Amino acid sequence: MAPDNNPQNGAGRPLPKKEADLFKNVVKHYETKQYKKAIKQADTILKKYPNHGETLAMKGLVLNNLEKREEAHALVKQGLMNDMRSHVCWHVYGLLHRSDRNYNEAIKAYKQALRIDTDNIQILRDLSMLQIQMRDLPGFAVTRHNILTLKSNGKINWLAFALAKHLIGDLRGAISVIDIYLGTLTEGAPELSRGFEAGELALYRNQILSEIPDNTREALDHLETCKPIVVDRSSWLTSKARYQLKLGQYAEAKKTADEMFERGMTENCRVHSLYICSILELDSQICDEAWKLPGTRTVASMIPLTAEQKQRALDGYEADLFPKYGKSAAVNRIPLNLVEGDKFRKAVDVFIRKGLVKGVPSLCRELSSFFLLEKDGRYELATDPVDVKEHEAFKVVVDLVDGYISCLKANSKLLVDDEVEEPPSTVLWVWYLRAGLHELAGEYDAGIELLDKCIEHTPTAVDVYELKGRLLRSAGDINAAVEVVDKGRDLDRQDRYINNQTTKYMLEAGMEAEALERISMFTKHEGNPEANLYDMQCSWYELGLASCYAKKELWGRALRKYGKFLQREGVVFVG
Amino acid sequence: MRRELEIEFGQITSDNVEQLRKVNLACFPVQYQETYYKGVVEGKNESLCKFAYFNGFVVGAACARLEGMKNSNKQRIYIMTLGVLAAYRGRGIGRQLIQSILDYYENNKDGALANVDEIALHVQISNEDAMKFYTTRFGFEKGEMVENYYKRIDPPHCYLLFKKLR
Repeated sequence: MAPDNNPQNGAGRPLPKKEADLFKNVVKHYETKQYKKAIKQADTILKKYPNHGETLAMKGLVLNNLEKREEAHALVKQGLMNDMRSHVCWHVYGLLHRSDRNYNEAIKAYKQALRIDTDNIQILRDLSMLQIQMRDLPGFAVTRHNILTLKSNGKINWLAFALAKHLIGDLRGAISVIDIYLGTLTEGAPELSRGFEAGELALYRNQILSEIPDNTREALDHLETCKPIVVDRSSWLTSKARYQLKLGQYAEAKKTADEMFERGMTENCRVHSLYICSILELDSQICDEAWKLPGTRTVASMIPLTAEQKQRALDGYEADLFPKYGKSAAVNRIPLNLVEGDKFRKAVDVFIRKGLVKGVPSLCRELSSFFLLEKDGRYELATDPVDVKEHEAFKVVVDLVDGYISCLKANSKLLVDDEVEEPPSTVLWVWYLRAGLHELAGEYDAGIELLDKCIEHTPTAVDVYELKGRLLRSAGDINAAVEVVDKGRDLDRQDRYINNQTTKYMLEAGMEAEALERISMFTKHEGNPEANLYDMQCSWYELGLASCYAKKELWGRALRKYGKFLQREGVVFVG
Repeated sequence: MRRELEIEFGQITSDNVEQLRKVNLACFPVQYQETYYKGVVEGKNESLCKFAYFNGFVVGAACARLEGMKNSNKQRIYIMTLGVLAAYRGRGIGRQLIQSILDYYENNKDGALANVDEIALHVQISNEDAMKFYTTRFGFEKGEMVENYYKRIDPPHCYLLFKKLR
């Protein structure tokens, strides 16, 4: 016989009305984060019914949010022990596990709770979130199906179920879920007319269609039918062009690419890849690969093209794109990958001088994208100084830049025939570029010498200190690098980037205390800076610090830092 | 004649005052004390203390302050330093810096600067270029010589250059 002071032992005797209302309040206060009130009300119930499982469990849950972990665990366990047939207790137990990141245990607890109260939407929702967290995709699909059956008037439940089907690979199933949902809507409903949500749903359905193997034609047709409701025209055009390329409809694909340029997508280099692929009628696998290229790389810098192919693509640029989009940075940059020999030299000369006069710090990095090596039918960036120095494009660039330097010295102009003299900043940028080229060629001393000239010329240029520091570090003198980069940082204490660089170099030099001082200049003021960095997931700092300890053979500290990092990333750290 | 460079002005703050040190170090034979830098930063008056920027870099700076005058209850604008990095000289930058301070006076002579009636600075007696700059460009007058004004450079004497504004 259950003792009198333990009502609700299993399903059956609920709390008397007064205490039942108090319990409802406890839950409400918990949900609105009014923890002190929740505890007070819970204690009132417990005074009369000290063994009431659900109240004990709720109190424990609230305490957990107040950082009283041990007491919280004890109370929740006790509550569960007292009332194993309460879905509330199991639910709370699951929530506790979730806050401890024991996701598998939490899932087990939720499932127990559902065995008692099968149609509890709240628990089902919590369960589904953990299942997707743990990538239990079949489980996730089942749970979302249950939720949809219970609450089919919520749009989110339809979409979540479609997503679940998509994730487990039942693509046709996902599409039919979306279609059934759309079927539940009445004619003229806002979700069916042109709008952002409707358009995105249509594009999503289209994406699933395209993922079905060999289904490109159906995807393309669907794209046409949903055109009126899609708001994101750029994505729509992108999908269209990619489908057309896949189906070999090259002329149409080119037209679509032209439309994309007209919409203003001229600076998107992937669109340029589409354009070139359609002119050259390239295989769809190549087109897909080109789509993944970063930065200013296009299919022209990915695979070797024949001279005839390059000319055809170049004709497109010279006849169509230059006249229409002459000021576009990408339209001027990409054809440089399509020309060689003298034509390349002339074109890159114009390109470099424009960047020097404007003062583009990343000019050297941009030029390095021309130093490509062929390997197995694909181009790779040359990184080894030996490869770089031998590269034809590198030699051309260095020759041009050396020419500018001597011309500036003699005539204060970049080219002898220039009309106007250059301002003093141009020579600074030319030296800076030349030093960057020295870096690529592994000629650190020469680079450092030039940068010292830069510092004497304009001692307030922070970029110069950064590059000099980088060269010193590459040359092997990390301590000198720290000194230089720190001086640069001191010039502009609001520049977070150079502060990060200084911190990074200090960690490499084994100066972890100074490094912390530097980076603390940018962390939030409350609490200690290391905690703030942990919360902000500043991985490069944490890993740099751990590596710094390891170098000093402070194994304990290093392991602790690495361990904490892995723990936060959710990786189970086995011994 | 080399082309004039158009500059932009910028405030001197505690976060970038190191750049002022660099300019001063490159331009002057004297080292300025912490009190000078503190005064510039804490004064927070970008009309009197400012950087000159070209192409994104600090290429020069002018620092002035308001001072009371002896034997009078009037004030003067006193130019403490005017410096332009060597590579950028001869381009009108110094002139633009001083002109902007004179413009500041013109725009506020009936308001915040109602009590100011003079602008002045000290120039080492051997610095002919500086004296020509202020006298011919801006109509400054050469005043008294002050002996042993500088502690560690030779010659240690200087002239007071000044211009009556009212």
